[in-house]
Amino acid sequence: MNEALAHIFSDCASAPGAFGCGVRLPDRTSRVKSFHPDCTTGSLEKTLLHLTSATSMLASHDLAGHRMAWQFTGGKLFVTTRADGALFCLITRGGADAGDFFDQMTARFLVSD
Amino acid sequence: MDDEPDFLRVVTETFADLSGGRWVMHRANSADAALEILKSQKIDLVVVDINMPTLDGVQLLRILSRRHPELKKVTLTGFATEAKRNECLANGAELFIEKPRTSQGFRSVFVMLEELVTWTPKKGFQGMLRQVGLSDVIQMECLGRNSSVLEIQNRQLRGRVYIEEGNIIHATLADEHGEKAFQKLLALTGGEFKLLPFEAPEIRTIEGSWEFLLMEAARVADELASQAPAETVPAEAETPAPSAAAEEAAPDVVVAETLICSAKGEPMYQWQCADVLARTTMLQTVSQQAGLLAQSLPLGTFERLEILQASNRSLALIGHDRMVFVRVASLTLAP
Repeated sequence: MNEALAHIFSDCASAPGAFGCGVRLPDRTSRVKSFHPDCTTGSLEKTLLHLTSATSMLASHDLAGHRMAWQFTGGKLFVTTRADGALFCLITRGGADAGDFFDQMTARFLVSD
Repeated sequence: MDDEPDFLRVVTETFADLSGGRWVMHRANSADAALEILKSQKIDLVVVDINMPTLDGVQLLRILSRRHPELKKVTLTGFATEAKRNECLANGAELFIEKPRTSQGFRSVFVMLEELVTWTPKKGFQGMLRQVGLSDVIQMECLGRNSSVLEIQNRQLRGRVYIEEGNIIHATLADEHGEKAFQKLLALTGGEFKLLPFEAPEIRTIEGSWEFLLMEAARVADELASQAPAETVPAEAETPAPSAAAEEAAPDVVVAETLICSAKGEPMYQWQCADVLARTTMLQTVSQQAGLLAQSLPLGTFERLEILQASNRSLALIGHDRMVFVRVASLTLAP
């Protein structure tokens, strides 16, 4: 993991309701970080896989967004993709709104290659 | 109107077939020719190619909006860009469509145009959010869990609906407030409305689900409409032309597309959805993917997906019995 990405992961710990975060790279490898015992590395990797598949499907419907937010009753998954196909995800729990925080991380992620 | 004679011929022949002879079409290869036809014929709909020599489609739209404000206008282009789309919509086009290249594409365009021709404006509300009704805007705000104030006015009355995080919490109309004011506002047959940033009202007078409130308001509006002779409230007479100030204050977003379908993907309602099948397929896939995500993480039940794009905000809501897709478009250019 490059330094910029490591810093983003580290800073994600201070996101409101931080639960976990991860990146799936164009070479199909992934890097994940958990901020809570209930958030396992395995579940984060599965999540990245599903998000990659969903994002690709949405792109085929012209719905690739610079920010996607999957809202669940108990938390939220923020997702963005870089031009090279890398996908970054931040997962938060509870009702805290981490949208602005995620936008700040996204700005850094987009130039982190 | 198009300066490509072959395209004009193909499109008129195809639409003649698809309409079963119901459509009477006039061809024009220039803006001048189109304006001449409009002088002598009663026309319901004009379809304009925006890339024309001399007087281009956008300039023609401006002229048509001024001279024939009642005319429905659609722009076609072979090179669609977001900037062009915004320019066309801002100059009075109801639809901005990419030129079809396949028989399925022609059929889709035909369906959209026929929908537009047969569409009856929701009584009187115009200018601010073309072709979108009050209840559509309220529904969009509630679905998006937004906070905003919807200000509604006509010549006699001014009212407000307060929406906080997707809940309708207060409404005022002259001296009235609460559900009664809300219902009366929804029953108005003409006027203008605009979305303002949320500000907390001094009191909260409304509780309950927005779906119920909208249904109840629709019922009351139907009752009022059935009691009053239509001639007593002529929508056009009551509707003031949007003032210059109002135009300046016009919101820069419009609801661009709505689709509601059953959980099985059967369409129940759609508005300006170019490809219903593709959208329902997308919603079903979102539902499946959300199910997989819910299995991976202990985050509870999936509620909705929000997608932010440069000029659009889309919401996909997955309920146990229905799925909803709403796309809101910005009329201003993204930075």
